[in-house]
Amino acid sequence: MPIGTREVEKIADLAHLKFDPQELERFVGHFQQILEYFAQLEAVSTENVESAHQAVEGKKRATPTREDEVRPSLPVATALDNAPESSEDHFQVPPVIE
Amino acid sequence: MEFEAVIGLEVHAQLLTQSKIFCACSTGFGAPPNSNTCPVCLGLPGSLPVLNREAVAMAVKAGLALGCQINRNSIFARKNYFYPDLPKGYQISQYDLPLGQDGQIEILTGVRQEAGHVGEYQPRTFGITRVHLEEDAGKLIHQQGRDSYVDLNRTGVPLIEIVSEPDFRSSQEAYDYLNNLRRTLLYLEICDGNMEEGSFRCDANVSIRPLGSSELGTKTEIKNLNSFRFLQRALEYEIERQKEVIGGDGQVEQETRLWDEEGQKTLVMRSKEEAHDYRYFPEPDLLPVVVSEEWIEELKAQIPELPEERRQRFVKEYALTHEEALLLTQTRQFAEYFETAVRTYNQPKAILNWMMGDLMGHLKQDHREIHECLIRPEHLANLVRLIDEGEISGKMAKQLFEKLYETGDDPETIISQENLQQISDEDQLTRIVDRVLEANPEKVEAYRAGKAGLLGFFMGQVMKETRGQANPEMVSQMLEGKLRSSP
Repeated sequence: MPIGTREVEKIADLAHLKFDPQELERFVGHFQQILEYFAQLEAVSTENVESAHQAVEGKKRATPTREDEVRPSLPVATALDNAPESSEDHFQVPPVIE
Repeated sequence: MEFEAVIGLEVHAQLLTQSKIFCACSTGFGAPPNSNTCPVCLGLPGSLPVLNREAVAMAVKAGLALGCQINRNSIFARKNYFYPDLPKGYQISQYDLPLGQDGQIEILTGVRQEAGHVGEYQPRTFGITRVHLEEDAGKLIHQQGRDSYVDLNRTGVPLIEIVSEPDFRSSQEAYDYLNNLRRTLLYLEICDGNMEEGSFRCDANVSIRPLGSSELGTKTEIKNLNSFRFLQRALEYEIERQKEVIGGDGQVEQETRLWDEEGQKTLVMRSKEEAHDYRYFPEPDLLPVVVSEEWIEELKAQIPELPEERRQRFVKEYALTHEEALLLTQTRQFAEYFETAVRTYNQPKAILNWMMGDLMGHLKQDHREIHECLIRPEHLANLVRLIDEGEISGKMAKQLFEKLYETGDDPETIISQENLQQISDEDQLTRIVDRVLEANPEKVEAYRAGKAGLLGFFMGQVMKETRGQANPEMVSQMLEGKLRSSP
């Protein structure tokens, strides 16, 4: 799939990132390299190989589970500690609805 | 041209676990803001999710109850989007391999007549595309023109998403499906089904096409359907709206619309989050969810008789109408109350009437659920039996019901305590009737002269004498007999 500045811009937009034209050009190059690498991988025959979703996956590798038990949460003040703005025990963010 | 509607529903149901899906914070509703949070659900860097086993168990039960194939291996995926209710910038959900897929349910659905009433019921099969597990997002509190507030208590509460096939052809079918789905989750005890509080939420996809066509038209997605009434009205409105657009040679736009209850219409939702490009990819922090054969068998064994089965059994076993059976099977507790009562005294219709009338009325008034009510099903059954056996009159039964409801005592105890027995002894009643007639000779004359309305007066006198306990039918017969015969 050919990649151009438009695709890079769209992905940057979805990630809430902004780049100037030179940066966009540079990323087009990076994206192309990555895709070329995947194209190389396509050459490997994966017939009869079950698809994996994680590198460590195997027949017996199940995600660990925990029992349904409540443990104490953080104090509210601690939970809000990293928030740039907070008020009345809430995180405060710019208006979502105009 | 005639059109038909094509509707699919997407339901999000909060699971009734104690703790969240990927951390041990409480799922309790109504806790002080941000008091049920930790590094995992706050999305702090370096924290890792650990899956709640009970959430998987509940989701598997839902999948089984909806006839789904349960995937022995299923995969969590990240759904990426930016919104302040989602602290990590992605929601852990499922995409490629959901926990359950390819299900179907057969239910009776109403066919409506022109007047809008359900005329008859027909069995219909609806497909379930998938049932998957995911985490809920937080809650935003918007303030007009000012900063928004975020409460992350709900972040990480386990949800199942249940996606139907676009199999509904009318708002009634969608309604019946949703009602059945809600009852099913209640019976499984995995969701409280509260639409107003948002623990059971529904979005609808709606399109129309010429009748007989097999192609799908352009669909709109409708959100904000937080009651059954809203769902039905919104669907009806949207179907009509699309017919008008197409009838006027226009085109339906693919868009998200919101139901506006106040204006009774759907409105286009304008949002910055319209970019439906979630860039799903496998969640690297979680390995596949493995559900063993033994576990599935164990969970299967825990599934009770489901509401639709029970409804159809009630129709057959107790000769009830579909509507009556539907009312009785709304919740498992209600249905079980009915069956216990009927086992005590086999008069289903009379018991149903007491349950739907006096009992429901009282429960509603007191905001109580049936399992919180003092009157035992056996007692209610005995109340009905006492009426049938002529021990008490219908009027006395009402009084007795009040006492049963208040005290939880059995009817016999109350009858003897309150001296509520009906007087059906012929000799005793004859004496009282004679006394009343002797005390009112002018009225007796007037009656015999043609004033038939005076019968009510004599009845009233007898009732007064017996504090309402005389058997009214017997008294009425006696009075008529004695008044007809000349002295």
